[in-house]
Amino acid sequence: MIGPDRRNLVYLAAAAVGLGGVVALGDTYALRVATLVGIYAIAAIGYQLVFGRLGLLSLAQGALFGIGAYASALLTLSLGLPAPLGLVAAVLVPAAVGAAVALPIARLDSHYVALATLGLAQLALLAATNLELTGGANGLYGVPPLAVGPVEIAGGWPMLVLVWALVGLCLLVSRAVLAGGRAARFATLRDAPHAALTLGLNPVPARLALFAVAGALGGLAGGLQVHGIGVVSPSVTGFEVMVTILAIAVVGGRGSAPGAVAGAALLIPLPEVLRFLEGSYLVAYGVLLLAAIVLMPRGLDGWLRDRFPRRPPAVPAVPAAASAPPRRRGKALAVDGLRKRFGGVTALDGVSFAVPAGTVAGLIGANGSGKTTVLNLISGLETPDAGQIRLGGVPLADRPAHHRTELGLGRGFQHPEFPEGLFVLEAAAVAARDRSGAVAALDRVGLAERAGEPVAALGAAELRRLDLARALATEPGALILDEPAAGLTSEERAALAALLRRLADQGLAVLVVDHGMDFLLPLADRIVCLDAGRVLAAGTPDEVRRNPAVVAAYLGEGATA
Amino acid sequence: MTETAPHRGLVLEDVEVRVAGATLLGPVSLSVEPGTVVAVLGANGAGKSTLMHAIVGTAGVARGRIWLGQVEISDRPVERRARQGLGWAPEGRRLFPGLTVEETLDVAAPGGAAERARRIDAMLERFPILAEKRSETAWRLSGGQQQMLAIARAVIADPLAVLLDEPSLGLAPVVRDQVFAAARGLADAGTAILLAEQDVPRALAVADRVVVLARGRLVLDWPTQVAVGNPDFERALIGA
Amino acid sequence: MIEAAAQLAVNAVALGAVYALVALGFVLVIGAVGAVNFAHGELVMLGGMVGVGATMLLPADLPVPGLLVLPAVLAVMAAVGLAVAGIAYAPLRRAPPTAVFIATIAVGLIIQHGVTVGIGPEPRRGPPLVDSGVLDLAGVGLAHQQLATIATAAALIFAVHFLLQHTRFGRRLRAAAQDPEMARAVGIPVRLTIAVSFALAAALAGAAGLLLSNQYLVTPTDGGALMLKAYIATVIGGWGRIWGAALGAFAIAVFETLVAATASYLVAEALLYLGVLAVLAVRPQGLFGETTGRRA
Repeated sequence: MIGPDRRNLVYLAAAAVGLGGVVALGDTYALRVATLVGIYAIAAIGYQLVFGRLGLLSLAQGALFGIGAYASALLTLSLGLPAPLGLVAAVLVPAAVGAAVALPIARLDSHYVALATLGLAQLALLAATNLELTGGANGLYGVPPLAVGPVEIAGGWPMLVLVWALVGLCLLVSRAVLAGGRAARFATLRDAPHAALTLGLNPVPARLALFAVAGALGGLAGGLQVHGIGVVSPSVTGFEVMVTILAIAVVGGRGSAPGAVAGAALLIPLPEVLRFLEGSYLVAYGVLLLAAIVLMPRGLDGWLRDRFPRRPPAVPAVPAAASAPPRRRGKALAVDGLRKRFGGVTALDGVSFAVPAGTVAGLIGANGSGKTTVLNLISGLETPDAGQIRLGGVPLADRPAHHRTELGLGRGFQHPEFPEGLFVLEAAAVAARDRSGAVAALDRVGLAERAGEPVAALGAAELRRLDLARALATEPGALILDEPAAGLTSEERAALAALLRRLADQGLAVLVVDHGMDFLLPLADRIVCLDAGRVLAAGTPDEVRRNPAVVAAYLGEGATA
Repeated sequence: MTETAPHRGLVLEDVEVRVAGATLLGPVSLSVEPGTVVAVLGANGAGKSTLMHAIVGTAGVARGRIWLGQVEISDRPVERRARQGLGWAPEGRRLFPGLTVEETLDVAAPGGAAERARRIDAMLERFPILAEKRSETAWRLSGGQQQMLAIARAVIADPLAVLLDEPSLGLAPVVRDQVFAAARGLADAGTAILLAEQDVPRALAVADRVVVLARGRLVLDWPTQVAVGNPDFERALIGA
Repeated sequence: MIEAAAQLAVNAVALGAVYALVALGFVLVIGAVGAVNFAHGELVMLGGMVGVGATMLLPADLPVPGLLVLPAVLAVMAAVGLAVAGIAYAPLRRAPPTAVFIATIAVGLIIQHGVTVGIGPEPRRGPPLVDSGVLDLAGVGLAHQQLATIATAAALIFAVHFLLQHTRFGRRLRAAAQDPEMARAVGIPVRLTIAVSFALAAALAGAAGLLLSNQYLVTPTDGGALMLKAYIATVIGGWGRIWGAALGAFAIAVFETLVAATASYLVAEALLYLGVLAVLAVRPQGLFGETTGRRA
């Protein structure tokens, strides 16, 4: 983003008002509440990375908060280390725990992630309540306050300023984690996982990093809390903390760091404002959380985004070299003896064919003939039971999907998915080397003038082309496309065919799956016809069209009627 | 624009299905009279299943109207179309995996216990393949038996029209013959049958009329005798 | 020795039967709408509280107080189940999967703290099902409450089994859980089956709460641990498998009782959570494999 979005100005204005309010009130209680808001904001900013950006319902953030609190308390109390070092431990220990948890858990489905993180949180609670080390059910007290040199920061204005300075720091950290196009990449991993894999995005480092940062920030918040009030008890790892953070994240707007601050500012003072409800502020939290998720599921930040949409990104000029054929070499695609069974059904029974660089090959066949399975095997979304796949002579067999992109394989999908809220340029740049590479790719598909528009403004045919552009931005040597012409008008189909022809002329090997000869006849150099998992015929379009076996397959099975 | 349907079968007028700006189907106008079989042919992706989904109500129709039994069902939800007299044997059969043959028929049959039992017995008589597998769970049946069950489930409520979506998929030739014979039998008993298929010769053998879809558009709507052997018909099928 | 073992066994079976009831309700909702009801534990607790409250309305020396109150608990909790469906599920039918999960977290909060604020945080004792007597069987003393718990839970489980397997409505409920769209296309009123699933689940939960309330007391904070055990049971048994979840819950109860008797309840809990984490890391699809399609 270039220049402040108006949304951020709204946040800044709200912060100024909040600050003014605290100054005006001035009493110790107001300061303590404001400090607590800051502490929970920090925990929630971290949580947004896992909850919003990864899209995972982790229920361990409260436990990480508590682990940070205990880590710092133990270090300063038992080992007598100075408080700032305790804070460092409060950051590092939960970060390590978060990263350790991420590996086995993050690949699971949502309902398993929730359970696993819940189990972890329960274990943390049990440990805190029952170990002698942690002081058991009573916890630890006498935790020294933070100090900078001889100056103690125990409460009041100094603590407030420290905490909110750290809030600012965490906002910057969050922004840095998401900068450099990473936000769009995380969103693609979350919302379009198959596309992400075929674009070469690897989910594992993303999960590790975001879980670690979430743990770090959650722990930092816990550490600040424990030094601020001087005691730590098992309740800091309890579900109440988790629910508060969750409510803040949802009300603030899932995935938004400034939203987390706003959410905290709204929810934490609630027990005060609702003093007449006495102990039932948690009921109020429940009602607010329910109302938020039902009525305003995108939260405060979502509401602001509707009113103040993001500014379009600056679009670099189309590089001059883009109009000349790119330097990269096309890579031939060859499959040999592919076999695949799903349960009792044989999807592919020995399929072999080749697509030389600089040519377009069409793959046709009836429903259930195995076309999509071939594509999934080539792109690595499935593994063959037997057979080999070669790209530019290099065997692809054991390589995971995201490696194949590096080798030069690109894929287009029949129903391409794009994460919400991106601009065309950002969507195309997800896997590109840099923005000008993305613009060049957009230019090749004829979308360069629309680079600054939101993806939502594109029609179906243009979305297909955008999908192609984001694959082309990885500079592939071979491209496989799944029914790219489905649902398009005849003019759009002709434009698409011309585009694919151009790409092949520029050196790529292009494999197109389609169900009709009308699109492929004028376009393809070769056609392969599949029937019941086997290659029925292969040759020039004319040869295949006239092949009696193909005609029979289309018109019906042989002579027996 | 017609105000009412000309007969008690299935009538479609200018039906269009759009998804995310792309027109998947339409506009399509089609008529399936009671007691006849209309075969819908065309390459995979041409819109045959979309057509079925539009009639069943599981795909939203952007424009156009649908009548069943001279009652307009265009705005009705799925359950009410079923109760109005629409049976559907979807592509891939979609049987309820954990239910037995008898249970599957029971949940689709209308009426009280006695009437349901009567209807189940009638179905098992009509599809003797199923009779011996009465208490078998659906996923254990062979392909042909599953297809028969899917059809029986679609017909047990005596619907006015039945949609059969690629019933021959994955079945051996002999079994296909039985399936198509069953379809013809239903029509002869007075039901309107819309049959989407890739097995062209068998479909032609039982159909009264044949319709070809290509890229979501209706390119041909002829009586079977006119279509068979006609080069234009064959060209339309290949999609060239 | 034998006496202690016999009593332990009876305790384990009684607890197992109740946990199975809880898991049964939990997995019914998962099957019906594919969503986790995070408030399920609170529904168990609420049932116990309703039982306590209903007993206060009865004259003091009535025989079989718990059994008399059971129908009221079932009815009230069924209504609560419908309310939960209306508030936390219906408005979010088309929302992304985790939305229902979060909404039920909110509902659980509301119930738990509503009860705490409304009637106080202290544990309360619910009525015995029959009476507080003890049956002497060959020298071993078995509490009436335990035996009645086993019988009642078994009766309810059997009733659910009968409903699902031998009534048309139960079959339609199963069909709708397996393929809602296809179920609609054969005329099944899926919205009704979903509502009934919620009501049934809540009724079972409430009954479990009543059964637990006499021996284990009922405290407003009970919900979390119970839901977690039902959740774990569902994962162990294979996501979406009704009888797998019931079996899993029974196993958890037996495990818990035995480990608590030999080591401590704390150790039992810790081992349970560690075990679950191990299962998720190694074989998340559970012992019998998943069935239904997934929502959070």
